[in-house]
Amino acid sequence: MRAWRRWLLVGALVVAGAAVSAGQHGHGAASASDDAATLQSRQLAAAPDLPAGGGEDLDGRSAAALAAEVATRVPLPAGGNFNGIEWNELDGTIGAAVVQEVVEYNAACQWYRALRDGREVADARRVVADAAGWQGIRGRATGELAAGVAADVVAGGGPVLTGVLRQCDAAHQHEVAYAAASGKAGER
Amino acid sequence: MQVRRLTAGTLSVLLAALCACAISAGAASGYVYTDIIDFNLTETTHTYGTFSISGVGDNSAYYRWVDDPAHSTVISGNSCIDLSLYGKSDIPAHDVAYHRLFTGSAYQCFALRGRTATGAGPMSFYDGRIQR
Repeated sequence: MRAWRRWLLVGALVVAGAAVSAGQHGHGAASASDDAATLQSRQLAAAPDLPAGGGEDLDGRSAAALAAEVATRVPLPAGGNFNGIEWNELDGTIGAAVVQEVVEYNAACQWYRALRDGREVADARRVVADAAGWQGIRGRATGELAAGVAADVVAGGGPVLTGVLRQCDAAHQHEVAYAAASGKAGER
Repeated sequence: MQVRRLTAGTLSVLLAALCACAISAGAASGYVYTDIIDFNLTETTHTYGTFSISGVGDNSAYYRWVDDPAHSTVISGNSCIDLSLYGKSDIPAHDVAYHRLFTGSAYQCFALRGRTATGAGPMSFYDGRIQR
């Protein structure tokens, strides 16, 4: 756990440094008109690949702690949160890389729904375009899906967007109910 | 002669259409397969990784052991979004047939998880396959 957190910290510092540097030189990262969500999205896309092997195996409690750290670097639309992820119900273990993947794909889903529902459309379009390259998603099943969604959005619709939104909507209902049962606010 | 040419042309179009239909039907009833290498299990549930239901199958996720499993195992699929359980299958020892984990929808993402049966002990370096 300590080694993984140390790696995440180094990665975060590298990304933050790269973003500052890109901003100073006026190329690469977000332009001045981009807001915090777009900047976070681009930082995630610019972050280095996760270590091979999937990282440490974590129990639900440790996974929740890591997820809370990861969540600080993942953009969400207004009213979004991660209260619906069932870390406390998780039996057995989950790799640190999958923890990050779940958090990021959860966020991507919230942006897909925001774009479909006409909320924060400009940011949502940029985030949806970036998501396949996010650090925890790229090169994984979720990355393939995110790339398919981005392509379908550009095309004005398609089967991947439809299928993924169906799962996102179902998860949203489940997450809101789970969060409420836990005494927490549900995501918008 | 003109009639024969038209007939031959029409036949060609019909044959092409039939071939296209056959290819389309084949794709619609197909599956995507992914090998699961070294799914190392203990009596505590372990997460292998994430996958998605393809757009060409029957909207279900299946699992089989390729290596003859020494122990009974429990294999499951959980949501990539909130980790809620979609479904699971109890696979007896020495069973290498496909077992349906759950039925969902095209492009639904799931995390593959598994463990050995209580009291069975660990099972290491066994390969499996997902049909999705």
